[in-house]
Amino acid sequence: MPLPRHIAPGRWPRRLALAGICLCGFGLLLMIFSRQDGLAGWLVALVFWSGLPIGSLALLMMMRVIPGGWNELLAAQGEAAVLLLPLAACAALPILVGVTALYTWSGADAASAFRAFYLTPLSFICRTILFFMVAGSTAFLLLRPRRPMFFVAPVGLIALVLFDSVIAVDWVMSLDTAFHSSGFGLYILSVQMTMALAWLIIARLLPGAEVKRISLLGGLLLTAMLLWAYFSFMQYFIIWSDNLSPTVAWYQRRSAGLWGAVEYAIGALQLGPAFLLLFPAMRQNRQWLLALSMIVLVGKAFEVAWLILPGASDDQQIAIPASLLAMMGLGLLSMAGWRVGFQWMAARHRSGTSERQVPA
Amino acid sequence: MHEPGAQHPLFGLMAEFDRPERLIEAVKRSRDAGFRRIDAYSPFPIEELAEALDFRDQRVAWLTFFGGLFGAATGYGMQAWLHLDYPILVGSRPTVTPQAFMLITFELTVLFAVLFSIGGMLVLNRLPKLHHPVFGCESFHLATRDKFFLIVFGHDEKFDPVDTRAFLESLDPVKVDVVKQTEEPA
Repeated sequence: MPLPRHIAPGRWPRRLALAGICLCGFGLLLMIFSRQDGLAGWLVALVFWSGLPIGSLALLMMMRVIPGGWNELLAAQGEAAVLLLPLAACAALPILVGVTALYTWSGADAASAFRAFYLTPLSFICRTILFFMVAGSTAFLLLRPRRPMFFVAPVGLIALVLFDSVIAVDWVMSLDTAFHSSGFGLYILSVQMTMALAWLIIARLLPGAEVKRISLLGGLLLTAMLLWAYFSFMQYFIIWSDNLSPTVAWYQRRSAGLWGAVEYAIGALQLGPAFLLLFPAMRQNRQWLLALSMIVLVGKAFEVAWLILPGASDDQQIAIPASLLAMMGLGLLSMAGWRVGFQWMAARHRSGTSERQVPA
Repeated sequence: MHEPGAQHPLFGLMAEFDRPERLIEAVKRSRDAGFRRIDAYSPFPIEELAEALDFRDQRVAWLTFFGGLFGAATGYGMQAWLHLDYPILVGSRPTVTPQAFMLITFELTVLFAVLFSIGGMLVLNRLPKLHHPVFGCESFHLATRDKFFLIVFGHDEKFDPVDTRAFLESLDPVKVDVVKQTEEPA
């Protein structure tokens, strides 16, 4: 659908998008040297930036179920972020095409009958498509103007948690078939929601207009950080307690060499802001809140790389540049897409919604 | 917001309002008029009210924070001390293991943060209390239902039984009551 002229994307979103496409292209080009490592880098960017629409969708549904001050503060930003779902679906395409190159299970003999059925490229692709269909139709029903249906948000929340867990297991956990953790889906969801919340807070505070009740945003960010800390530590603690080799090795690989330093950086970049947010002066200060949200966002980017790269790639010299390029590329595309979506939603709200269709 | 002691002849003057907006407006105007020792009562929390009263007391928040620190130190220290004093080798793990200590540390952090918070709130409010002068005001029980009250304490520098009453009447309240001291003057 062509956009009406008065909300057509301005120059800078178009330039950002062009630059983003170029960077994504360069990132994918690194697959020439090694398909597996190039795809592993791409997967980092996919998991991170798909977290923005997915986490925003979860937050938006929670805002509908639990209305309040956060609804007024963040709903418009969240709706625009949910519109990035098609971008996330497109970003998943290289992974779907390259399943056999990235995931070791695709070539190996399955350890059990269930795995032989569940971990095949075809069922992997079907589950990813199914996820985007579920998330997309939920977003469509949620953002459809005029006819709000009360059951969309609660039912959608339950569905999203279940299907997002499936995706988390497929995309990230199945990189290492020996590793399993029943809380992994919720852990990834907490990463996505924290990341989305940090983005929404930045998007709300950056334009410079006066924002009432800033401390509410700080409180929300603190809550998200604590939830994340709970899920990530519980998984670690349970695995540490039983101390069995395949699952412990997963953490061991992630604390060796460079990744050990990254591990400490992730902890510091999340728990530091969480500690500072305990103080009301921090929660009420716009500059501090912006800075802390950005720090959290960087920490989340490190975390996604830390989750994926140590297990997915043998040659980090290709995987790390590939992930950096793809991360920046998809990031610029998301920024541009978010900006256009935000203007479009604002125009739709202004015009009293003559358009029915929402790209979901 | 210290309340007047028994040496003041009157505890204060109480104005009753029927809407939260009126109470906030009244608080703002009283502060503009120079009254500093005032307080407000409402059946539910009103966000703007603390701001209008210029309430900046952070003592409970700080107490909660230090309670949390105390709990964390207690939880971690207790476990570390126990394990150092009576080491048991379990699965060849080190004697002092932060991973395993974290749960109890967290639990005690929460416990002491809450205890300090609630205990501090009670002590700072001088609760529990069997009686309070404002209960002498006939309709004050409605403060827990649907009425909003503003009191100007008797030890405010600008307090004057006649002028202050006239001022409160001008705020368009339902009524204005005199709150007497319940104790014998010292």
